[in-house]
Amino acid sequence: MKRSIGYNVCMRTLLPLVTKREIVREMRLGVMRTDDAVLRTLRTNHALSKGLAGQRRASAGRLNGAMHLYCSLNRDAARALRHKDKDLAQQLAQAATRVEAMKATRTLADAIEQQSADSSPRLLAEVLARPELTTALREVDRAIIAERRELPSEPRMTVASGRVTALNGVSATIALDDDLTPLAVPRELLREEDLDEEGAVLAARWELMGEGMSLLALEPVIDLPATDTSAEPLVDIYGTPWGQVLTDADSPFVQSIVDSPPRHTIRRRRTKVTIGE
Amino acid sequence: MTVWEEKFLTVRIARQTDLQPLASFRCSTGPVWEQEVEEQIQGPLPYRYIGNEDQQFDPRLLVCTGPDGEILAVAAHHIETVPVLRDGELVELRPTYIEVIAVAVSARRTTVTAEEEPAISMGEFMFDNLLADILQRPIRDPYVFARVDPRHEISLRFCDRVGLDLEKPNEHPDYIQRWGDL
Repeated sequence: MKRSIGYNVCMRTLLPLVTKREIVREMRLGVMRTDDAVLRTLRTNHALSKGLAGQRRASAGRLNGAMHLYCSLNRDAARALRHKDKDLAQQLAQAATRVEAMKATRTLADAIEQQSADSSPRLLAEVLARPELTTALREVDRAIIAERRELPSEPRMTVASGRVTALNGVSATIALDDDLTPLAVPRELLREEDLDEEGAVLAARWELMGEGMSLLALEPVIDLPATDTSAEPLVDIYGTPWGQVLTDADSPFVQSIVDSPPRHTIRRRRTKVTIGE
Repeated sequence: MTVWEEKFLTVRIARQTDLQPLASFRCSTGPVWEQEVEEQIQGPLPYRYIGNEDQQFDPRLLVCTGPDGEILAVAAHHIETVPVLRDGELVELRPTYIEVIAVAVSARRTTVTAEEEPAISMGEFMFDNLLADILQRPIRDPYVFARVDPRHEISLRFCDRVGLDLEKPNEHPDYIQRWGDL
């Protein structure tokens, strides 16, 4: 099986949809309040979108309970409200509503609802990694990025993706994608998110809490599988026809170049160039 | 016209921390072929490259920064495979696809000077760095190509200057391919 650069586009994509668990947790942060009380506070402050309701299916098409998914921007809204930034929280909830209204978001939600197991973030990430959802996933991901770009940035948040590289007793080592910085984390944190295994891909989210303290949370990210290049919907992946890859139709031309004597047409400078890593 | 001495410029592999400045990278003054490049750089392109260590495609995104860290130019290349016959056997050729070379609007009409080298444009400077990077990469065959909007005369002249001189129709008719030999 060949790997496609197209699908690597989406490697380490943050979850575009979350459940109320993630939103409540972001808002509550250790304070003893019921889920419903937290959601009520968010709704009262217009800091929560309506979300996408659906019926979860069990085997043979039987219904297996209701399911409610929300655009991940709601989690940012919950955090903003916790920091008493009501304006930002409301803007984020409105942005979440726009994302949830997209057809592509409904496509993702439908795919999640059709699986019969629970709705843990790890499972959501696995479902959304299916190649047939790549186009919708990219569309929603881009929409979320575009919405965030229109809103004030959150200097207190740092997010980096990575992979679990070692499990060592009570701690685990994560290699972050940006520069492969090794990061030690308690394994309990990984267990809570069903990420306690070598190779698990995740995002590490730090929130600066002030007075020299920060909060670290780990969560699964979407890691798309290797896919045969020949099955790649090129235009959808790159967003423009510009990104097409070479096909068999290009072979005769390339063959003629290969069969010709080397021409060495590419200009080279005289002095050495060093590329920084 | 601005003149930069090469020693004040840094060319390096793009990092995760470049995502934010790249999201506001401006390289278009209006033409559709420039807008398309700008949208790619502000949108999905960096995500295809940064942190991607795929060995088959070997994607590489370079950024050129000035002394204050501002991104002045962007260049990206990766392998695109194509089947060819060698000694009667079908094999995968691994030429390098130059996906983009883009100069920031703020760095247009900039010349780069270096000892023992002729003064060149910022775009050519990025091409030189991109080429140096290609030559250092393993498993590449000595062929390079780009896809160009045929209405973009500046790009076509640029291809002529750097040696991407063989022209071929592209599967998508809005573009042509330009090929050269290393």
